[in-house]
Amino acid sequence: MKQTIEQNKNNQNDIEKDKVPAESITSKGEERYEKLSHSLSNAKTKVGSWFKSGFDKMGRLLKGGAVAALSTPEAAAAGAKFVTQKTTEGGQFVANKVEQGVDFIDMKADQLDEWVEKTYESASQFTNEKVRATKEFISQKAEKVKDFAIDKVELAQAVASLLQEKTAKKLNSVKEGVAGRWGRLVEFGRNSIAAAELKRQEVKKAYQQQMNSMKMAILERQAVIQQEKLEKIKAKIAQLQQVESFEANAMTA
Amino acid sequence: MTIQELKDFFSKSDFSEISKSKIMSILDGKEKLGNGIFSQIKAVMQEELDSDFNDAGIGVSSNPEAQAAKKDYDEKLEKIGSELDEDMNFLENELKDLEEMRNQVIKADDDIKADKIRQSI
Repeated sequence: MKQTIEQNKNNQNDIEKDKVPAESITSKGEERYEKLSHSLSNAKTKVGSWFKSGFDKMGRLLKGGAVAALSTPEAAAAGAKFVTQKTTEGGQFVANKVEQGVDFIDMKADQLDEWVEKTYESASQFTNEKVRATKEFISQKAEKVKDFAIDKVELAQAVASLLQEKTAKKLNSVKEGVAGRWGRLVEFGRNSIAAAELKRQEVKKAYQQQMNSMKMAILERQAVIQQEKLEKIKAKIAQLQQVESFEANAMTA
Repeated sequence: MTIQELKDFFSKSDFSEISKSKIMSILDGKEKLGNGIFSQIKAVMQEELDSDFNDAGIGVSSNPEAQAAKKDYDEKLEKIGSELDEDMNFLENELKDLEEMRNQVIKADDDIKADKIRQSI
């Protein structure tokens, strides 16, 4: 009798400790996501002002507001002339560029807003295609990091070359390079979060299956006294397995 | 499998009315089955199973095999968390470096534009 009481006490202690493990990676992921959001929010401001700083200055010039800021009287005069000639080819070129720059800024900002809002949520929403893409990302991550390093050297060289020969052609090419790299880095961040979430789901599923099996084994040993409970839990575990197979089918559909 | 078929499956299942109701509310208003929906449903099912095992007095945490499984689980999660940390640090550093390059290019952009203005004199 004393032994049974002791055993029950042990079981109660075990049950307390058996609580489903905390979603530590989720909370960590969320912390990281917060940090990343902040970082990207800064990046958004930076990218948002990518063309803006240059074009704002030009915009003010076009409006004549900043003409006085030009360093020499000749340059100021030139600025004034430029303002009066803004419908000429040169003026139109700058006006078009301002417009394109603003479009570009709006597009990037919208994309990033959406990304920041949806990324963590979507990291746990895997379609079959996304699982495949995420696994591919995991297997190629080291290679991608190497590519980033090579790209960085190339971009730094292009920037250095631009600083030496300040031509519009080089400028546009480097701008494209920076915007492209920014896009690839954002994509890398999105994939990293998805990869962590996918791995977490797989690890958790395996762990829960293992724990369910262990508990079932104990319950089966007590089958004589807990037959009814055993049958009910067995049925539920079979239904959980069925749902897993529905899930697998839905992912391949 | 459709949402309705899944609802029918659960209505005939052995799960409690409380769990069924939670699952139905997960499915309500959804148009398409995806991993996110299944994750939520499985969490509800597992919660009830855990409760059933508890009611049956089944606990395993003093079992060495369960302890090893828990340790393995924690280590794997820790590793996943560390990898994510590394990736995010990498990303932040790369964005920072990119920002430096951007500033250099803006400077060149300004110079080119100023030069154009000078040439238009």
